[in-house]
Amino acid sequence: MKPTETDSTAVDWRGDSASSPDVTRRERLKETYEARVRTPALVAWSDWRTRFGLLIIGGYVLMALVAVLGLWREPSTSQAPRLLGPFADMSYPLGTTQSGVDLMALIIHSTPTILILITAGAVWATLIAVVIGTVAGYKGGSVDRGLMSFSDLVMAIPGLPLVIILAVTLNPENPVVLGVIINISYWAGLGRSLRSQVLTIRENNYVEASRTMGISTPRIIVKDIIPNLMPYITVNFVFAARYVMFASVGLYFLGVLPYSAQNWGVTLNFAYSNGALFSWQAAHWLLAPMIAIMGLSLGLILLGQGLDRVFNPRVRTRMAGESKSTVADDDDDTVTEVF
Amino acid sequence: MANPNDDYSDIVSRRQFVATAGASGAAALAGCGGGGSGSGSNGGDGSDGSDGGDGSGVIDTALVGATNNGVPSNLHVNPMGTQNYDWIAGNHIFERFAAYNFSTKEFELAGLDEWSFEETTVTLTLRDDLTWDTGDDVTASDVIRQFRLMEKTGSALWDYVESVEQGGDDKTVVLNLAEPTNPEIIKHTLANGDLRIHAYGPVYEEFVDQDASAVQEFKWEEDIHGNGPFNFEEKRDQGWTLTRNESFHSADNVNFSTYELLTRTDNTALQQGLLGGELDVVTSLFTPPTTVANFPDRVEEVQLPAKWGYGALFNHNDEHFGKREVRQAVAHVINRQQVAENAGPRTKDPAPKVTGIAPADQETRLGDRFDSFESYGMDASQTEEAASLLREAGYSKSDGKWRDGDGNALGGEYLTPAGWTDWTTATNTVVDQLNSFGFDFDINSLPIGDFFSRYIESNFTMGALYWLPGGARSSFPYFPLRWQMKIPDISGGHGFTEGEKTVPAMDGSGEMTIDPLEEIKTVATTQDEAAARETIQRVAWHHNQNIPVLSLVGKVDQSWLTDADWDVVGPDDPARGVKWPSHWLPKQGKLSATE
Repeated sequence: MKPTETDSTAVDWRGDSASSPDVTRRERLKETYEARVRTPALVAWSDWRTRFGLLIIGGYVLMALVAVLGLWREPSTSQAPRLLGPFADMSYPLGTTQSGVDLMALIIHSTPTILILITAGAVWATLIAVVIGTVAGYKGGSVDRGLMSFSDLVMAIPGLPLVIILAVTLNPENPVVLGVIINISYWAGLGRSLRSQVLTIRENNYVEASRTMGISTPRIIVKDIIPNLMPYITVNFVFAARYVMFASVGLYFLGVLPYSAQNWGVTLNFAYSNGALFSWQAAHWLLAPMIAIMGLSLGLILLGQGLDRVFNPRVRTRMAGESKSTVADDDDDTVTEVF
Repeated sequence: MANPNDDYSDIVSRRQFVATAGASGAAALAGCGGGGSGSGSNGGDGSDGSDGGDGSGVIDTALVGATNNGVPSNLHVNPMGTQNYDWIAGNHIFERFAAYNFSTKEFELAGLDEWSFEETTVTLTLRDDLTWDTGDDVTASDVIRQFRLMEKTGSALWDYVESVEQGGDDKTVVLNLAEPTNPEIIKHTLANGDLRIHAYGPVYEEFVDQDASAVQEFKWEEDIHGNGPFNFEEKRDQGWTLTRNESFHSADNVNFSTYELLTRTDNTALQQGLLGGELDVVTSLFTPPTTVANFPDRVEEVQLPAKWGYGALFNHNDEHFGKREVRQAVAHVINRQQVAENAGPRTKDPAPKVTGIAPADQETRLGDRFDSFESYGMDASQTEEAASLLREAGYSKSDGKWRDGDGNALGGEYLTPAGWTDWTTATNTVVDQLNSFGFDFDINSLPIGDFFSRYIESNFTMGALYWLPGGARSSFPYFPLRWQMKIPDISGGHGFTEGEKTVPAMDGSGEMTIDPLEEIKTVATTQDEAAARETIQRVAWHHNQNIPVLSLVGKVDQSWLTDADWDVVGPDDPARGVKWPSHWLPKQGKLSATE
C-alpha cells in the first residue's frame, strides 16, 4: 500500500508529457494555465447560464460593495415617510416600511452578511463532505465503516431542530459561524453519496495504475478521484449555498436567530406581521426581500449548471478544440441535468 | 400581565417561566386581561335581552370565534392548570366574580350579588341563581374550596387574605384580611381578567388535601360542569363546541344555541378569518392598519387599553446607566410619539409623562400636579437637555459618541425579544434615536428564554421590557408603581435599590427625601382615599425624576366583532368596555343572533 516513491513530483505518470522531457518551467506554467484556467473559463463562459449566473451574482457582489463602501445610506427608522410605495419617490426606489426605513438600504446593507453566510456554510458543508466521502470511499475497511457510521449518526439527528437549538445556545451573530451552524449536518448526506461514487471510481484502471505506481493516497484522491467528482461537488456546493440562504431566511423569519441589524429574513417577518399579505399598500415590503432572495438563488443555480460543463470531459474537450469526434455533434446539451 | 391572545403569549410569571423555559404558557396567564362572563350587576341587564322569552326564542345558529392557544384536543378547562388551559374556552364555561369596565372605570358584579368591605373583613355574597349546569347551587363552600386551592398555588389574593370562612348562609363567603387593605386592591384581585368560579366539588374536592402541583397538573377534560353562559359540548383538533347553558342565571340573554371556537394558529390566520367572513368574533388580535383598512364593513373593532406596553429597562447596577443623569438623558433623547407611530400608529399611545401610571390614567391620578411632572419631550428628541445632563455627569462627546473619562463610549447591548415584531420595530426606533444622539448601542435580539434569563441574572445594560404589569389592575397605580421597583417577572434583576431617595421637591424648590417602596406599601393598607392619592402622587413623582423603568408607549388591545348576522350594541354602549367583548356581550344580551 505504501508508495515506494521518494519524490512524487519526479514521477511523471501522465502519458502526454512523457514524450517531452524538456519542458521548461515557463512552458509548464503556460500549460497549467491553459488546462486549469483558460479552457475551463472558456468552456464555462460558452454557456449562457454561466454568463447569466455570474452576472447576477456579480450584481450581488456589487451591492455588497456598495454597502461596504457606504455608497448608499444605512437603513434607519424614521429616515423616510412611512409606507412609501416603490418608485413613488426615486430617492427611495423600493419604497419604505411602516417605520420609515428605506427598503433599498435594507436590501443593500443585508447583502454582505448574506454572501458571507452562504459562502461559509457551503464551503464548510462541501469541504467536510468531500474529505469524509472520498477518504471513506477510497480507503474502505475500518476507516470507511468508522466515517460512515459517524455520518449516519449525524444524518439521524433531525437537522432543523438541531440548528435551532445550536442557534439558541450559541447565539451566533458572526455570519461565518452562523453559516457553519446552519449547515452543521448538511455534509453527512453529501458525504455518503460521494463515497458511493468513489467506490466505483477507485476500481478504474487509471486509479489502479496510480496505486501500482506507488502514488500516495492524498495525491490519488486529489488527482484521480476528486476531478471525476467535481460536477457533483460543484452542483452540491451551490445547493448547500441555497440551503444556507433559505434556512437562514426561514430561521430569521421565525425569530429563532439572533440579529443586530435587519436582514432579508427579518424584513420578511416584519412585513408579514404588518399586514403586507393582505394589502397592496404594504406589498412591496414583502416583495423586495423576496425578489432579493429569489434573484440570488437563481444566480446560484445558473452558475452551478454552467460550471457543470467545466467538469464534463466531453464538453470540455470539444470546447477546447481537442476532440474531433464531438465537433460535429450538434447536441449541445450533454451537460448533466441538474433539474 | 400580557394579553395572551397576541404576540406576547410567551410571557408567564417567572416561576412558570423557569419551569417551562419560555415555551407555551399562554394558559398560565391568569390575570392577563382576559375575561368575559358574568351578568350585569344586580341582574339588571336581564330585561334588555332581545329574545325575552324563556328559551323558546333560541335560534339554532352558531357564533363562531377562535382560539389560538393551541389545538383543543390537547387543551383542557382547568383554570388552575399551569399548562394547556384554554382560557378562551374556559371563560365561557365559568362565571367570574366581577369585572372591571375599562370605559366606565368601574367594577361590574357578575357571579357576585354583593361585596362589602370593612376594616379587615371582606364579605362576598353569591347570586342566588348562580348554579352549576347540573342545577345545583354554587355555594359558599365551592368558593371556599377554590380559595383554599388558590392559597396552595400562591395566588395574589393570599398576599392580603389570612383566612376564609362561610358567612351567615351558604351563599356568603367571608375573607379575613391580614391587615386593613385598600378595597380597590381586593376588587382588582377578584375582578382579575381570567379568575373564574370553577371549583366544582365532585372534581376539585380531592385536590384540597394534595400538593399544589396536583391541581396544577390536572387536565379537566371529562365530566366538565360549569356555571357560565355556555356548556362544554366537545373538543377536537379543529376547535371547541360550546352550547347554550339553559341553567345559566342570565340564560335569557343568550338567543343562539352554539358557540364555536375554531383553532387558528397565528395572527394572520385570524385576520384571514375576519376578512373572509369565516369568523364572527375574535377575542383579541393585533391587526396592523393596512389590514384594518382592508376589512369589510361588517367587521367592527373594539379598542381597549391593555395597561401594558413597551418600555426601556436600565440596569441600575451599571456604572453608567445606574446614574440618574444618564437615565434622564436617555428619556430626553427618545421621541415616544415616533416610537408609537413606527410600531403601531393605531394601537400604541405614547406615555404623556414618564412615570409608573398607565397613559390614560395619568391626568386623573396626578390631578393638578400633572403639569409639573417632567415630560422629557414626548414628541421630540430633546438633545440639548440630554447633552447638558451628560456633561454634568462627567461625560464628553468625541468622534460622534459620548464617552466617559476613560474614553469608553456610552452604550452596549440593547436587548429585545425575538419574534415580537412590533417590539422590534420600537427597539429599532429607540436605538436609532439613541445612536444618532451619540450613544453606542447594538441591538441584541434574543429568544424569549434567553431574553428573560439575561434580565433575571442582571446581565445587561439596557433593553426592552413592558413598563406596566398589565391587566385591569394596572389602572390602580399602586400595582404598577410598586411593580416598577420590584419587577418580580425578572426577580428584580434591574437592581433598583430599596431605601430612601433624594429627588427635587414637587413644588420646585429644594429637595425631598422619599422611601418610595415603603410609601407605596401604605397605599395597600390605607382606606383613606385622600391619603392614598397623595402618596401615589409622591411616588409617581419619584418615578418621574429617578426613572426606575422608562415608560414609553401604552398598548391598545383590539377585539373584533361582526354585525352582518349578529345584533351588536353600538360603539357608545359601555358594555363594550369589559374584556373581552366576545365573552361579555353575548351573556349580557348585547350580542345576539338576528331573528
